[in-house]
Amino acid sequence: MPSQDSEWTASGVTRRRLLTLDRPNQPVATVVELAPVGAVNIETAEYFREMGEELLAQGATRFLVDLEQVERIDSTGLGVLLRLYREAKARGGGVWFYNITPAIRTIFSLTNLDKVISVDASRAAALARAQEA
Amino acid sequence: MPSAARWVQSVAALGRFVIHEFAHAEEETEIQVELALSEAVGNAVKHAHRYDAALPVRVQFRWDGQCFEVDVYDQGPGFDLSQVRPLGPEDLSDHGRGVTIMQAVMDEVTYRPAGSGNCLHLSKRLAPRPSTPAPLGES
Repeated sequence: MPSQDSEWTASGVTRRRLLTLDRPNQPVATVVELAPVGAVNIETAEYFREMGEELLAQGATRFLVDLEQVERIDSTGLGVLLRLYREAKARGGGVWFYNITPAIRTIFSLTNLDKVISVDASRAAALARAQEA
Repeated sequence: MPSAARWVQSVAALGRFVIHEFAHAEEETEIQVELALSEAVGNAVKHAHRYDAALPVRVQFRWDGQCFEVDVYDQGPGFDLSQVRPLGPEDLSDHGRGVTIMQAVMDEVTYRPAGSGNCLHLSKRLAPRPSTPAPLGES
């Protein structure tokens, strides 16, 4: 479990905070937790993409993404989430999604992404997977 | 509507309102159709007009009691819908899922030249949600 959580900071339409994970027999891992709010779509996705690029450029490779407050998403929004997922994995990290909403479940199902990207039911489960990775 | 991203969701929500009010569709159907509409209108704004707000997108909704139809008119160069291949689930590309979503949700998706531009046509037959029986004593 996290040894230290920073406070949420609101940044545009996404809240974010840093977590530090203790891992048995492995170096401590820093995780960026993101919580988009409202819509991740054609109107807001560019902001999310820029934020992701900035975090990756700063060296972040592990992300928890809380989807609970995402009310709407479209293919553009899905594209930026997948971009972060892809880039984080390419850097040896990962993205762990949790708290899926009906809107996200719909688009994951329609695009068959539910077959390749697992979404955890709780933050604890996502944290556990991030800790093991 | 102007070709601006901020209008896309408003128009999709208007379409959802139409099927909610007139077709009494299930909520899951409403979510899916709203998503398909945001893809259709977003396609015109993003790809056909490249966010040029001076180019208007015209959207028409029709409901005949059984079928919900949408026409989205753009003034872009157009594309060949038959050449759009769905991405496999293992393909995590940023782009290329809009048409897949529309085709998965709607019964019919066509794209054809219309006037000086093109028309993206969507249709879906909707089974109205069973209406709640009137309470006894009311006719």
